[in-house]
Amino acid sequence: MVYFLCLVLFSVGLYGIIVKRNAIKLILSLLICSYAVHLFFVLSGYKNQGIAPLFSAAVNHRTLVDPVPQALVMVSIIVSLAVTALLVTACLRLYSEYGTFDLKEIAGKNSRKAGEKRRAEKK
Amino acid sequence: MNPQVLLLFAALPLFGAAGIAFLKDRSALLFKNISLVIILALTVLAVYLEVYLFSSNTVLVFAQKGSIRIASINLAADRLGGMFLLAVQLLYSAMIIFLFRVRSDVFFGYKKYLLFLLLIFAVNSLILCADMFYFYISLETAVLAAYCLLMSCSRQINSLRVFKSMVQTFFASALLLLAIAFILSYISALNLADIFRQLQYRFAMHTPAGTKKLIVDFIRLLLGAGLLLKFGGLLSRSRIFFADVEAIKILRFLRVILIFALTYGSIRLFIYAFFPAVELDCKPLAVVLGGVFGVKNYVAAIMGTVL
Repeated sequence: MVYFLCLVLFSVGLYGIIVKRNAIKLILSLLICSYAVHLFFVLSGYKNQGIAPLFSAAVNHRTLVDPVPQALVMVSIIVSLAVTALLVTACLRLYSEYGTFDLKEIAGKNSRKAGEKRRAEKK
Repeated sequence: MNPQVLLLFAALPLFGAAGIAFLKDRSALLFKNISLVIILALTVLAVYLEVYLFSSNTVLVFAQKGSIRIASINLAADRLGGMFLLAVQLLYSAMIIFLFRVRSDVFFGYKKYLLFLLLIFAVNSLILCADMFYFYISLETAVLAAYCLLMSCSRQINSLRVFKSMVQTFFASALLLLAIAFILSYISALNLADIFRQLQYRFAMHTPAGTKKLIVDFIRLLLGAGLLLKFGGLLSRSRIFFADVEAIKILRFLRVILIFALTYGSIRLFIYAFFPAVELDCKPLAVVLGGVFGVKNYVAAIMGTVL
């Protein structure tokens, strides 16, 4: 059931990436996607009624949760933080250049600019 | 090898160059020349280390004998890996000299210099990595450094295309990570040689296995789609969105290195396919490409990179 919810979350992110044309919403969708993947990653080490992986003679080793996915997800979260920062920077660059976050509008402005350039070159 | 020699020739020049470049970012040419000399010294040292690595393997291509200890990290590569690292390093030196000759006024800002080092580090580790997660992290680091470098180098830049390309590339990272999560939950290992052995064992045990085969195919699909999207997003539209000369040169350099890494993988794949009895000690990209990624997707990735 929880794995299915991960899939749903990933699908929501994917839907946003495909459909949304606002740069901020696009970044948020991407983040939702990566959260879903992180969740799935952590859940892959989950055990029902599991305990922290501290080894001792008294502990039943079968009930210990797998610490590897948790450690990997920590690293991955840091990487995705850097990615988000870079994406937001690019997004701000877009806004300062075109005054909007709408990618359709920006594409329109871009093509108009290119047309004007071509006309100016012809003249 | 004496670690003090390494400290003298590697750590000190590295931090010295970074410090000088940091303090004298855009000032006298003298300092730029010093930075260049230090960078070249560092590169020569790296080339020397790689030649050492390369020549210390005397048995076969696949035998692991060359091992260098730097700051308590064991770098191990076989002859093939050493050769590719050497080629990357030589390309890197040529690139540095070229950039300094063409655009000495702008290139050696300390940020760009450090980013370039980061990029080279990531690409080298891409060749050296023996673990799926390291592979993901080094790929991600290379991509991040490349984007930062390109965005800071290029003045005439089509921001919209860059943004779209970034979204595509980072979505691909999510797919790659998902594939890695599947591998970990299915095979319980991320080391490439272990994955390879486990897959071999499982296929030998459950010959026409329906569900198990399906999971492996799904993982292949995820990895293939992730790598295709990633390389496509980073490399395919480079000429359109970067008008600056140096940015295009950096991107071409990156493209050559990635093709190198993939070629390296294909040679490994060949060794695996035709000499299965030979022990793979270095376990680099090819085991990913061969064992998990699959031949078809690999060819597609090459095509995506070249196109």
